Amino acid sequence: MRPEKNIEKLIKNIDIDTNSETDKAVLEDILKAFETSKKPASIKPNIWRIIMKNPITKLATAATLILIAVLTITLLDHTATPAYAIEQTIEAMKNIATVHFFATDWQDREIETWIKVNPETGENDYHYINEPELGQISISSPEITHFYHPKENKVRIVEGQALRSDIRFGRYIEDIVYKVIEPENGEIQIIKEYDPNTEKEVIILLAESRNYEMEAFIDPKTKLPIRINFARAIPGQIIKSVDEIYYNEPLPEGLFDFEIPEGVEVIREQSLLSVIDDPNYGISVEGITKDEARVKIIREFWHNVINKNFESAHMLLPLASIERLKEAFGKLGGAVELISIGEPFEKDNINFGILTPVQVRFSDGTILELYQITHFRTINGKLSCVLAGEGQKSKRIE
Amino acid sequence: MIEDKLLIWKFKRGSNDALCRIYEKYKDNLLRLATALLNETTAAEDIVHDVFVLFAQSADKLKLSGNLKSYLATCVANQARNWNRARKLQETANSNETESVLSNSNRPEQWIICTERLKLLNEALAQLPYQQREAVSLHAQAGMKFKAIAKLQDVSINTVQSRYRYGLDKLRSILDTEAEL
Repeated sequence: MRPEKNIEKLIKNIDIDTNSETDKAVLEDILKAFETSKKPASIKPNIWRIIMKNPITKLATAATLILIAVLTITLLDHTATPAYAIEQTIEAMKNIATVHFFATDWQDREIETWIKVNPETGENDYHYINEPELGQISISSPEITHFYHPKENKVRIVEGQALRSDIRFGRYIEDIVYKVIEPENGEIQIIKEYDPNTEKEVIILLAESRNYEMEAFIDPKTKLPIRINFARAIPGQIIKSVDEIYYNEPLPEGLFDFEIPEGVEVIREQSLLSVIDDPNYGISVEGITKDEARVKIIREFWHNVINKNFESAHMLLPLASIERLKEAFGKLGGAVELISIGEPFEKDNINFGILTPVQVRFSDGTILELYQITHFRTINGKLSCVLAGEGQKSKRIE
Repeated sequence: MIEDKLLIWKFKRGSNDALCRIYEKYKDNLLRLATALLNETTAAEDIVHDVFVLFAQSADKLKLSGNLKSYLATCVANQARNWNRARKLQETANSNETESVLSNSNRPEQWIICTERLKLLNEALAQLPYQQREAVSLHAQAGMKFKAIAKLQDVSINTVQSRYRYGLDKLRSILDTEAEL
């Protein structure tokens, strides 16, 4: 009798030959299936845009505590640069005074951004964001933010810095690591690879957690990120990829000074981003299930919109000002009937709430399907919810 | 060598290269496993083809916590079970049309080139009860851990280990009496 080990070895090592032509044909089939399954990246909230700042995730951990937080860094393969450590990038980013980058949003539109960083805090104190395809230029300082829509000949003004993010660009890698990845027990991997775009060896920093996936290409020389791609991003982030980054470039003169052009309609808005976790907005979820609350808030919202009570509707959807609600739902003659509230579903990139399809009839007979986000929050130990915009483009049913 | 985690990372971001690499890395192993489980090359080829196609289509949904090799082997095992179930139903419905095993080694466009050794081993494996064959193939051939096989077969680890041991014993006696590999 053969020993047991020999039988195991025989099974393990038995050769198999394959027809190379069929190998290729099968691979073609597989690649074809892969190509057809590739979808455009998931969609950000698209009507009431939440630009960069994320007030939902309260991630403000003290910096000193952050620095001693424990993080597992897995070196993925043996080619990883032994001399590189993520702390080098964190340190290098502290010397950034200005950032100029070209990015792509989730709908593949180009964005050019200038940021002036406060070197002490790493905060993005000044922004200039040009989104030509969207038709919007956003300019912000700690005192005021302008959203200029040249095609609509309109400017929206918000008091204060409306574009600052919890994730500071001047501390980008540090904040991602310690505020996003580590709290979710995510993983950081460091790989060294040849980058065909730059024809250089680069260090790739892969960061992945439940709700977030990023790959940052790090220049081995400067230790600074030169390109960043996102598969899943922090809530409200409009950027899918940062394609080119330039550090410490001299700022064009007057970049952050916005002068309101003559004849432009001026709309003054409150800082909407501060209100989503304000307990004065939304409804309580005490004594009812989340599902019941979701249906309740949507019903109440549309009841108010249909009755042209936009003040009350705004209290349920604080991200949209009263004026914006009037503008959005006053079209098509106004909403006249809430037809149905569908089953909720989750979407990869909308990780601060669930989406609910809602069908609404307008007075001209148009029926629209909208996908409303319900955001649940616990404030002072009490669970409540607000509507937080739309999670994907609404579609016309009739 | 590029690790599977990196391949998965790239694959999920739409990298064709990563998918090609995964295919090249695991196709032989999966074909070997599928033929061991089914002892029928056409079906084995179909199953491995389907597993890769489904895998390619799952890039955006794939949440892989274990290892890739084990994941793909489990996919093949599940497909093989479905195929066996379907075949049994077909045989029951029409007992005169049962296909002969390994009868199609010369058909055009074949993917697996069946060597004599492979054929003999698979014929020996085919004589084992299916659960034993599965335990032996998944552990010895696909390198799956007993714990993962236990989960797949929905039995305890001890049961899987027993199935594996009995399977190997039986296989040893079949191979000793029937063929010289």
